[in-house]
Amino acid sequence: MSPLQLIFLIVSTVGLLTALGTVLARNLVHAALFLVAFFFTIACQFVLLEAEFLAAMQVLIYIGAVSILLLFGIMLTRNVQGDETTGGHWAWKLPAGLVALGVLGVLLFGINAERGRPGQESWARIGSRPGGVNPRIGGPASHALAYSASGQFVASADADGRVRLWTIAGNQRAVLHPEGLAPSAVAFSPDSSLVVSADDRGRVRAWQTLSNRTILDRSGGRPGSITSVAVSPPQFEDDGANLLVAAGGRDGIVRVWVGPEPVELDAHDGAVLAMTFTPEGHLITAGADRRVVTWNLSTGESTSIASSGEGQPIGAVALSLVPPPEPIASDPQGPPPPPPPPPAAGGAVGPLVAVASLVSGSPGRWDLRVLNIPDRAEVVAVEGLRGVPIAVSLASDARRVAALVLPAPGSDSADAEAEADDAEIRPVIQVWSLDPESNGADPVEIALTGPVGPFAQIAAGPQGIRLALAPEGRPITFYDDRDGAWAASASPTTTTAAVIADMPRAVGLELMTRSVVPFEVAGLMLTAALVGAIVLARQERRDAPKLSEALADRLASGRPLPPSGLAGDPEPAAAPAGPPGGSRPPARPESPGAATRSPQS
Amino acid sequence: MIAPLLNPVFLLAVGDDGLRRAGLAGPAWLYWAGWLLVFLVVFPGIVAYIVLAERKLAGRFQDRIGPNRVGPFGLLQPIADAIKLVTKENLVPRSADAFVHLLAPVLLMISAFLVLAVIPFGVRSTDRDMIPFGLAEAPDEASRWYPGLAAVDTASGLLYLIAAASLSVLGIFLAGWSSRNKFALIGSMRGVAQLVSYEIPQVLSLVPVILWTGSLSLVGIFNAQLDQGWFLFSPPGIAAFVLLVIASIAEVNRAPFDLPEAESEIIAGYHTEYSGMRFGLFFLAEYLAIFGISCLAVATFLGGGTLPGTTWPLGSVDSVILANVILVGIFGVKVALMIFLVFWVRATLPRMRVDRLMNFAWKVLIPLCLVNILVAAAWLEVGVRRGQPLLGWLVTLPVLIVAVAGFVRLSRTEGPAPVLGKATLAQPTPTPTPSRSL
Repeated sequence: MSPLQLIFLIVSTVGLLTALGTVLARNLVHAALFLVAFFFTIACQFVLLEAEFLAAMQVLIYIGAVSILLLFGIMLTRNVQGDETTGGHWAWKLPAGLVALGVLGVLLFGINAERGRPGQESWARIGSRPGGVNPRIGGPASHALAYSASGQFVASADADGRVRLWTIAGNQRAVLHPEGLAPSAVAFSPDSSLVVSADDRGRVRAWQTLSNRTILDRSGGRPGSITSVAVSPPQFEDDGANLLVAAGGRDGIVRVWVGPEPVELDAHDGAVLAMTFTPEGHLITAGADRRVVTWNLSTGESTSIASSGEGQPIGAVALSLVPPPEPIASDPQGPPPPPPPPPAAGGAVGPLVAVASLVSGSPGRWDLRVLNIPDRAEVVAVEGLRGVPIAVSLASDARRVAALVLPAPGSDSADAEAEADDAEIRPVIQVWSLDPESNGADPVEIALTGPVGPFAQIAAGPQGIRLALAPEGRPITFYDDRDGAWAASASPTTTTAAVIADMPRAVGLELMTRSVVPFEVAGLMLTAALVGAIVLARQERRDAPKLSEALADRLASGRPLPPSGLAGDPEPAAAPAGPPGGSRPPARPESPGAATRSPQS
Repeated sequence: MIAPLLNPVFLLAVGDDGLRRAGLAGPAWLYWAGWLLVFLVVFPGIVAYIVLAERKLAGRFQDRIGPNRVGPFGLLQPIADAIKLVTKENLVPRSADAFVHLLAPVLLMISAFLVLAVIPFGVRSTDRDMIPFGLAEAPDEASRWYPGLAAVDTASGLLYLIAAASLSVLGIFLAGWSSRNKFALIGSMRGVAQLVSYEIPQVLSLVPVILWTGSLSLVGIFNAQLDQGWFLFSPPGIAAFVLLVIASIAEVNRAPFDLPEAESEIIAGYHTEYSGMRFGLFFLAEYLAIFGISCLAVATFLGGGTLPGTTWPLGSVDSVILANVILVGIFGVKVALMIFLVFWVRATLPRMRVDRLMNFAWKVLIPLCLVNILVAAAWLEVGVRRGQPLLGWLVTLPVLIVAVAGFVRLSRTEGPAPVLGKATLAQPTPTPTPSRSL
């Protein structure tokens, strides 16, 4: 627990206690004092949220004005000293209690509702929360994942139609709104300064990763199931007009936006599984037709290489992003990107392609090949692996390749009985190092705890082993390498607390989106009940015994001073107003001195 | 070895940047320890000698000598007073609300201390190396700020200061209420009414400063005065300064606005039932508040620690220590002059009547403040943005003169004080009036 969280807990506890004290104190002034303390804890909460202006306003208005007004009101009642304890007629208490419960209900559901101001996220989903507040818990599942080449961010295209940027520690950094269909592909530009998403209606949208500003929004592409997207590195001082964006779908067509309207390339016979831009602006696409094509978009030339042999259908393919030699800090306001990753080992300088190809004829077997695209050299080739690869990912520093492998359909496999059953049921992430000295070494394996589904995604990051896994139907999990051992990084997603914390949000969503009108009607009815009860109680009070006659007479007669007492002290107000020398006793009316003092009046 | 221990001593003079440059930077807690030392030792010490200065000056104003028995020139008098206050018995009335009775002076004192937290007494660095609040970057030097030597420098410093000062109302109310004494209660009601009323002109008179600076940060105000000159030097500036001083004197319950503790009418007002160190806390809080409003006036209108018409020593003196010695010294002299003004007013003016006090706030000060905000906007447009101060004076001065004369004339009422509830009072028996014909 961080100190900030500890302070938050203390302040919250004190705030709750003082709120209780406000309600339970029998002495009115004490109740008002508790209220002041409660207002102060609210101001403290604002400070914790780094909202100093609000904190100052809270103190100024609520403590400096509202509570003073309350105290003034108390002083103007008969009960000035607060000695009479508060009480009430049932007719007051009942509606008051009802209203209190209603307000509590509205607050409980309303606060957690997924509503925000237009164009802004609701509080429950705001990504960049200030200090002292936990990172987001839970969340929707992701369709696509991408790891930035700089190793700073992971982008996910989520099922709720948003694109999220995550820090590699697993904290949500930003939420981007594609406004439309849920994006089905997401990618970073090679220099990590842009993130781009594409949806199935043929619309692409790019943001700057540091400022979250939309830099490009193009539509008009041919609708279709989009599987991959890529964006070229921005030229310096680029406002998005010169960006190249490409999106490829299951139809094998690559839609390339050079200007506002897309150009279509009939690239592959099967689905376009992966694509990337090189720093020079060439587009590389990898398709299910076992070809990897490099497109020179300015000349229209293309060169094609085979990614796997005949009879080896592609299971999964990944292209590595090649960061430009000098990372361009596209946004001077943001923090500078970390130093560029060290040059890739193994002599593999160009973009790499990692291909997981199934071995036809022997289900449950697959081969992994990593090729250097420019010279078609094989960096790594592993054959005869067990399982079904559903996703591969290349780290952008070209040092690692990771594959998500589902367990092989065991009954079909001839060698199934040789395997230990329990261990093989679970899906596994396998990570190979591409360093030449470790070539041929066994992969690092991470056994996953639950099923991931056949469309799960995986993204591997540079600079230390970091992985992001997006299982189907569940939030992203981040893995990192702690002292050589693989472990899911401390993501609160799976904890019970997360589930509980997520519950009111879900309930609030349901209630507030569907039941606002009933709430308002209920509030009106409660108000009517309150007014009726007040009228009722007043009528009962009117029947209360009157003051005794003697007391009423005494009050009505004003000051109980005999008139003779006033006659002995004439003009009492005139004496202090006399001239400075007039220290003598006030003159009697009949004394001769009265005539001399007449000018003062 | 010795150097880190001396850090707190140097902190006020040089600030954290200076320490870092001098190689004396300690951990962060040392910085706060230094400020804690300043708040717990230096400020109360200043206050003790403000009290002595007041007694001496009041003596001179009344043709007396003042305290001169304890120590040379009576310089040890504050220490003797403190010892007396601490050793005296704390009397709490039997029917009083004991906890609230204790809470009230503490609250007042906290309020007085909190105000001082945002006042920039000097600079933390002699370079303009602070990016202003609200800006993401400030590439050229002119748009950056000198970091201020304030305990806390927040973007909404002025607002924080006003908010902290408004807490004192609560302390005064609770003191009167918890004492179970009608004089105390009357005093606190008077106090609350007065403080709430005069808080408005106090805040409104600071609006021109915010307008000209474009920032609520006191450091920003200090830096704006380095660029634009003292805010005092314009007709709306003079008006706002005078209004601020008047409202602030009323906010700290000083004569002629000391009705909450008018001793000729209600004994000692809200602190009637206080004795010993609890009374001492009221005393400390009152003089701390005087110190606080003086610092506020100096920081907002009198250019902080600079001399009129120049930014010296900033820009010419490189040493942080030397610059701060000069800045804090000038700041202190200005604060002393402000405090002297407060004493002078007290020795000169008689106490106001309750109804006139309220009339003055609501019928003169607040309308004047509102007019002054408009005039300040005109000054901003003509005098600051277009750089024509002469034209600015010509435009703004007549408006202000007319406004002041008009509001003072309009609010003037003749005759004795109205008596509330006059109809219910028993009519005095008519007495034979002295014949005028004699």
